[in-house]
Amino acid sequence: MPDIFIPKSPKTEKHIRVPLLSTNSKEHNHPFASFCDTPSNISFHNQEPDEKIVLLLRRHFITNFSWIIITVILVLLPLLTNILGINIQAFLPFFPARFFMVGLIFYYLIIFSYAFINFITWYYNIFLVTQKRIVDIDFSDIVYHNVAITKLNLVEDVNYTQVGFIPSLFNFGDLFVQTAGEVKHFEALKIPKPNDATHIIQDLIGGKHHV
Amino acid sequence: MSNEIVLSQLLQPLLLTKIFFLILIFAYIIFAIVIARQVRVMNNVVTEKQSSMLLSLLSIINVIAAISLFIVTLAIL
Repeated sequence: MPDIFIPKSPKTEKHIRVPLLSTNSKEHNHPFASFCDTPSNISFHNQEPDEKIVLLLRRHFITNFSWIIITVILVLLPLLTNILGINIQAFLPFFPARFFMVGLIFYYLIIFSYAFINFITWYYNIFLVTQKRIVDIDFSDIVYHNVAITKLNLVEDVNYTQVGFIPSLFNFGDLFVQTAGEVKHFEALKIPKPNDATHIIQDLIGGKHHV
Repeated sequence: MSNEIVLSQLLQPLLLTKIFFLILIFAYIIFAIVIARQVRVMNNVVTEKQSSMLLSLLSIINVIAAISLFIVTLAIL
């Protein structure tokens, strides 16, 4: 008598299918990556022992270009004034040179803080996908951070948008995850390879997608 | 008489500038401490061994540099 139905064994049901990716994970698996599949050496608060991070997303590094340029200009500004022969001490002759030295050091400390804050704002804004959950960590304005977590089985829809010349050129866009949980929308803005990220999440949830 | 001398000394431009610098640098020290604390908080939220250590180190160096500048300003200005 032929078998009509063969139930799945419990062992195969527990097997977690890790989606195949076209990217070379070794190239992108470094601490400051914007798109990293199965990152190593990274963990988050409340991560379960058997929970593995499948995808790590940050804003594309090109989005840091503006503050990097500003930092470089500000760093070079005192040197440029020297080269152009502009002597600031000549405008304030009653101040001794040591005042200008302290002022210069303080100026460079401010620039360092500016660059550091911009960097950590980029670095700590992370979108993580594990085989069980989606974790969205938002960090802004130094003193604000928000962690939103949802289970994968609550994810209803995943889509992405890529609008504009620069996003198309550098292949970054916005990823949106709609959930049935308390937090309705999870967003990962200006992430690299949004198409790949969408497919990874879809593979994990086993659903349809909208482009 | 002595009060007038103290007041006149306080109103000297260089002394006023020094006090202004000290206030600014002190405010920056507080700011740097807040940054260091937030880096520590965020490293507890998401941890990557090498980069978390590096960012913590940079934030602490920032605080130390600010405190050092305060002491130098107090001493030499």
